[in-house]
Amino acid sequence: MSGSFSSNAMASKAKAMYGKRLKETDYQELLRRRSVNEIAAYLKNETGYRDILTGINEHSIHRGHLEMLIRQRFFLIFLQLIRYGDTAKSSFYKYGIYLIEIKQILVTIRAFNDKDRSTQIAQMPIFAGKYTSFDLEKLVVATDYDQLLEVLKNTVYYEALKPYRPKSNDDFDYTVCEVALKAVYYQQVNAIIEKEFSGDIKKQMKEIFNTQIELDNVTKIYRLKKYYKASPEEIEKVLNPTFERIPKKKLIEWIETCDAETFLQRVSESAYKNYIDDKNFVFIEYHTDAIHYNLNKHIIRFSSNPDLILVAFLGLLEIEIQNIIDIIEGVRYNVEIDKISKLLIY
Amino acid sequence: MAIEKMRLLRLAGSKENIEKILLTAFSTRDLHAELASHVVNDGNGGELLPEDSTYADYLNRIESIIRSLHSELMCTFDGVTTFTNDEIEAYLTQVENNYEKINETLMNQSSLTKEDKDALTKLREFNIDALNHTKYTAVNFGRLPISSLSKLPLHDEKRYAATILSKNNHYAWVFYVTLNENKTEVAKLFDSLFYEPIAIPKVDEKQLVFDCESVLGKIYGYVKHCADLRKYYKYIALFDKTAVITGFVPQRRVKKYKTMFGEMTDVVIQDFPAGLEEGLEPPTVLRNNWFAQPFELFVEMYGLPHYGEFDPTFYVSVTYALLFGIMFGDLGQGFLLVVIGWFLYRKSKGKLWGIVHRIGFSSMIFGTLYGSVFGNEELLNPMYQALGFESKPIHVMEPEFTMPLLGAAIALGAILILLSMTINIVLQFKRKNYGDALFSQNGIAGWIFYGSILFGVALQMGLKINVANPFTIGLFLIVPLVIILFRVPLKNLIAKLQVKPHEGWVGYLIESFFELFEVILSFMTNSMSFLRVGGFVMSHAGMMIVVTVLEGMTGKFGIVTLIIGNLFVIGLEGLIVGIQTLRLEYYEMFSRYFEGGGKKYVPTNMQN
Repeated sequence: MSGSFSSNAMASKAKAMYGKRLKETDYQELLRRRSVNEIAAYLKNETGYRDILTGINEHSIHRGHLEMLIRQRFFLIFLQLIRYGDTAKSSFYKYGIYLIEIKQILVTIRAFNDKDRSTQIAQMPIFAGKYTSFDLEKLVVATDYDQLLEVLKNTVYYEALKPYRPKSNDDFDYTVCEVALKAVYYQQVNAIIEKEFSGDIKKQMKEIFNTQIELDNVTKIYRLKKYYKASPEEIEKVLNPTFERIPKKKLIEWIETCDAETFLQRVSESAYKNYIDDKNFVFIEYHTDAIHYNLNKHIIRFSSNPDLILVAFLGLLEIEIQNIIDIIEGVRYNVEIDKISKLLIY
Repeated sequence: MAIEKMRLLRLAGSKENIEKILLTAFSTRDLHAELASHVVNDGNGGELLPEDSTYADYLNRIESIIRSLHSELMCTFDGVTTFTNDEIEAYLTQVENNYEKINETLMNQSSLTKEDKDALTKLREFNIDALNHTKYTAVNFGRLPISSLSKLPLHDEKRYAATILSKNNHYAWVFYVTLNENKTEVAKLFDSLFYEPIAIPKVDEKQLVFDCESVLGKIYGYVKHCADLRKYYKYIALFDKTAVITGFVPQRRVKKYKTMFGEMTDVVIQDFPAGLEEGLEPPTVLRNNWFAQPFELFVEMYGLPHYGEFDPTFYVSVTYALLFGIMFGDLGQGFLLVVIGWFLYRKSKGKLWGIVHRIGFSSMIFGTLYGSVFGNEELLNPMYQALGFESKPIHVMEPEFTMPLLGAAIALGAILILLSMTINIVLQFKRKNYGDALFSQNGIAGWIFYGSILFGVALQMGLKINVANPFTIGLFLIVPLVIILFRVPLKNLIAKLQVKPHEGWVGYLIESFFELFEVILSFMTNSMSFLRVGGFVMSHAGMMIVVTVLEGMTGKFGIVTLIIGNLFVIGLEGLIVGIQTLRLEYYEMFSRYFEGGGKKYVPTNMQN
């Protein structure tokens, strides 16, 4: 039991923050707002987003700025919570940084051929710069794979990406890079968990991250089947060989025998059945996120381990932020309230 | 103890000279001007000056703009500079056009925060007008999130020049310039960094406000002067080309008032006795001696006497002070009332405090007779013994003193009622209302009836002489009652009108009989009403005994109890006694001789 006084404080703080999450009435109110400014005003005046939005001019805030501030809140809360955490586990708390780094590398790879890098610049989390293992700002000037590798030199990503160095900029395989980077992430997290935790906590922590891997696999399988009509062999090649709630044998069988919809049906009847909500199909990420949401909620309610609570709370916060972004985008593109509402997980 | 003598003045001058006549006539607080509509009638050929709201409309327009601009423009008129209506109209149109621009700019800025506006103020240093008229360059002003500010150098873009006007924890307010040909790309770049543009005002509203104020400042004073002057046109009657102001001036100030028109040779002042013109009732100004003067308040509250009639203020002042003193007799508390009344009267000039000051003396006199000083009933005994008396003359709380006290209260009341009736009889004779003077319940008939009863009772109780016999009863009681019963036919007889009442004899007699019954009843109740005078004498003494007992019970804090107790009694009982005395004045006395209904003297003055 890692029950030091300070880490218990982290658990209390996380639970208190969880108490201030957006509730159903908040979502209903947000859905009623018909402009980005009204959404900003509601978040600023009525919710826990008050802190990050204080000082903005809600009457004329730029949508992109609002989204960025909301996303930034995730990182600020993460930093705020780990201050209360167990300093001995500081390497564990890096798992959030890995996610940021991987995302920025993938954005850079996608932008190689773009003349205009303004979107990348705009969304770059410069505030996280002092925690990352490489200089984020240098990514903006990397216009090909070699330059990217140069920036990533001396990081764990260098070795992972090096084998996939393309002959030309037009030749590289984005999916392979994504799989490789995700593999790095899980390896790193796994290594940290092995090192930092033991016993039951270690088991539960692994369960959380392995479930993430498994759900990633589920998404991949569904997409490859539905949109790329990929063969079972092609699918198996890109999967991360980690299995948590669905046994390997069963998953392979489903890959080989089911089409996309049947596959999803099988998943919903599997060990995940208690975590899938009863909404009709929206899109695959909705279901995997809903499973995440319910798993994390379960942990927050029943676990007393501060680190588990931290991971679960951050997982829930990420979903909440995605909900708000969905509402903002919905309003921006005049999507009907019912349709936006279906995307929300709460 | 009188009503101020008035003179009716008629100021006549050339129509062209109206402004000067008005300014002079209403420059002092002397003339109570009469509305021209009261002066003009079908017979005299006068006309009212036509309504002219031109300047009032101009003034409304000016003041509405001043309010909207939140300006603190001072209104001054030098007495020399004048403007034609066309000039005023032209100035106002110019200001209103400017105001529209200001308003539009302010509307556009309504969603801006204070910090946005501060940044705008800094932007003004670049000359807003010039920024709005650039030929080859495009300018832009807005908020850039602080997080985006550090990303600006990441863009390899050199086709703009930017400057930071101000900053806080969230935003930097940026002003940038670029060539017209690059403005789309640069705008796109800034937009990608979540730049929130703020419209550069089309005009410098602060400069415009200043311009508006300077134009308005020129005409405001003149327009207000003209508009104010026209408010007094209602007092001007036109007879051909002559403008006439009619009004009343107190006689003692007439001479001085006339001298003001000394240099205005074209103005003729006609001076008449106040009551000359039928339909123009002269206003009433009460004028009384030092003692009675504050009591004018009570008379005015009831109603002013008509001009030339009896002013009851002195009578009120004496009877009020007497009754209050009897009911609230205490040397110490009376002294306090004298001091407090004097102090507050000097400070506030409120007539009520003048009354408090005066009735305090009365309270002191009766307090001395009762031997009461702040509730102490023994303190004055040595003084009386030194004067050769055995003790103080009136022992309020002695049981054997109670009945004489109540009897004396009724007797005092009866005397006051008789006095009030006497005043009424004299006034009715003066007004030549012989019928009312002779036959009414407040006339001679009523006086004889009520006086006879009192006289009989006094003889019976005082000297044990029984004067009641069929003759005296018939002559002094029955006859006056019969006269009161038939007062209307008798009044008709004297006025040489038809004797028979218009409702017929039977109807009249039935109605009058009940009225007579009420008259008899009211004589009784009015007399009984004065019992309260005796009652309050005892109640005051009783309350002070309570204070003294409490003082004894609170030991060393006795003095505090005594002070608080006295203040409480002065505050509570003083107020009640004051109100009860006023009630006696209004209900038992005024109702017998006073009517009110006079016109208040309100001098017309340009400054008020």
